[in-house]
Amino acid sequence: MPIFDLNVTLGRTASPAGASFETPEQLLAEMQRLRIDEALVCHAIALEADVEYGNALLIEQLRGHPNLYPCWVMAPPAFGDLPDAGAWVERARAAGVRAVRLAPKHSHYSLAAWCTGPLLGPLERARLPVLLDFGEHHWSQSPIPWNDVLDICRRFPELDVVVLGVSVGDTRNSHAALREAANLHLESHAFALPGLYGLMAREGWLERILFGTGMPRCAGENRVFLLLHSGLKQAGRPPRAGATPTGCFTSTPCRQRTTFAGNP
Amino acid sequence: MPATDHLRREPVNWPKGAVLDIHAHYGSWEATSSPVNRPEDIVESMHRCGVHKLIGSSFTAIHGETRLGNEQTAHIVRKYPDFLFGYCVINPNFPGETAEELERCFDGAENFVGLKLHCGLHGKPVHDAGYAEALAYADEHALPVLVHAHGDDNWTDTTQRYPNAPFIVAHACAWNGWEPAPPVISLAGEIDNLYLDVAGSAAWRMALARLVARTGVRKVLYGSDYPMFDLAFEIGRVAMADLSDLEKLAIGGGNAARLFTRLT
Repeated sequence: MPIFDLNVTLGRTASPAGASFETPEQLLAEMQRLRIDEALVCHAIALEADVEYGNALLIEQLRGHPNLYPCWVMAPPAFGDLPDAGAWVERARAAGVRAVRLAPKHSHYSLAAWCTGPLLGPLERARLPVLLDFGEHHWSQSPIPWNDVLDICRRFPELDVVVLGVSVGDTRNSHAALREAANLHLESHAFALPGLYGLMAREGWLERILFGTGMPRCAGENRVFLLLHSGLKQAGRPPRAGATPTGCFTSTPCRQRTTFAGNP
Repeated sequence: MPATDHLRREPVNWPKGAVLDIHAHYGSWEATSSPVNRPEDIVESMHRCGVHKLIGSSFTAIHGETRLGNEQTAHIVRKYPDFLFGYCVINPNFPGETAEELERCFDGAENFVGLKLHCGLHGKPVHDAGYAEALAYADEHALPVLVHAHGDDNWTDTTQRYPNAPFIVAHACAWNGWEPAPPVISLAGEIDNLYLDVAGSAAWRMALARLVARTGVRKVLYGSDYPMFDLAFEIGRVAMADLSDLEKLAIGGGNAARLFTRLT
């Protein structure tokens, strides 16, 4: 079963020291150790400091690594500080970007549609999925603005929205939100709810839980082991099913499969 | 998953009975939602994840209803005596109940193997006089004491006063491995009867290896914090860690087997 990691960051971070993948080779070595086959990668500089420079670094550093897929960080432009949203999304497409990550908490903007809408519209038209990053938090807490998340899911129904870092403290909210919006997905790195994959299967939502490790800040070991011991059977699944985030457990083609990993 | 693929990924060939989870809970905690928490669910999860024995405390007991909660634990462990074991919870705010709880758990019930002190919830540090009777009992019977720390705990005095009782401080891998370590981590490397568990942590990358390097492998024990975390989550970090097989076996259960002499 090939494993696709939706949530990896490349590049040195300001802090904590020693936990970064400074080169693609370091990232690939850890992926090989954990037997992760492919990853969607964003750059630490784009997340923490300079969006455009970090995105450019990412494209440069991922060149020649076909199992690492670029994910750009974007933010709503203000006073022309960032490119026009439509043109920016076109540039992302041209650069081979497979998804876009927004970090509203870190970058101090509202996720609400009145702020992010001008960016989300072009992303929806370009069929680029959006990853929502609210930073690391204690697993018992619920800092995700679910009203805003659901609002953008409803306003942009063709946009695939992936919430990163959902944890057991958000079980009730995330369950209700999945019921409300068919284009909402959850990334798994902080979600270790017992029997999670079985519970998602019971609801018919397996294609909506996407595997991620959160490396390099978070350990990949826990997440991979949890996936491998989820108890779900792979029999009868196509051999490439696990190569894509939403294909890990389902044989049903879906939008993310083609969007993220370029599978036919 | 094809069997051969499963074996290819299995990082440790645990001997039968080797994996002991020393930190779990029975019942529900409504600050989160963990629907998979019945005794039969726990045992099914243990079989799925390769955990052989599990020691838990009742949420009801640590939250206030000490007697009812300890009775709940007794009822649960009686159903699966080969797999499930219990902690006797002591509440220092009601010291007049301590003798009765010790008798209930260790004379009137089976499969109780240690004490659980939740100094954080109960608002009293481990050296508080409200714990004295219970700790004297633990010292007399060499019972392990699992402690959710208060923060102002005097570990040096307490461990010296009760030298036959192994104290296990919970959640040590909440430390990320590069920021200054909490004092108790350094103390665990120095005090013979002071130990740490890794339960319920955010699972920062390389934190476990750094914890082992700091304290020595014999001081670190596996715990899951089930049902907030699937059993596979923490045991996966141990199993796939960049440690030797001997170190993994020690953390996964060898150290616990040495301390919990009542585990049969």
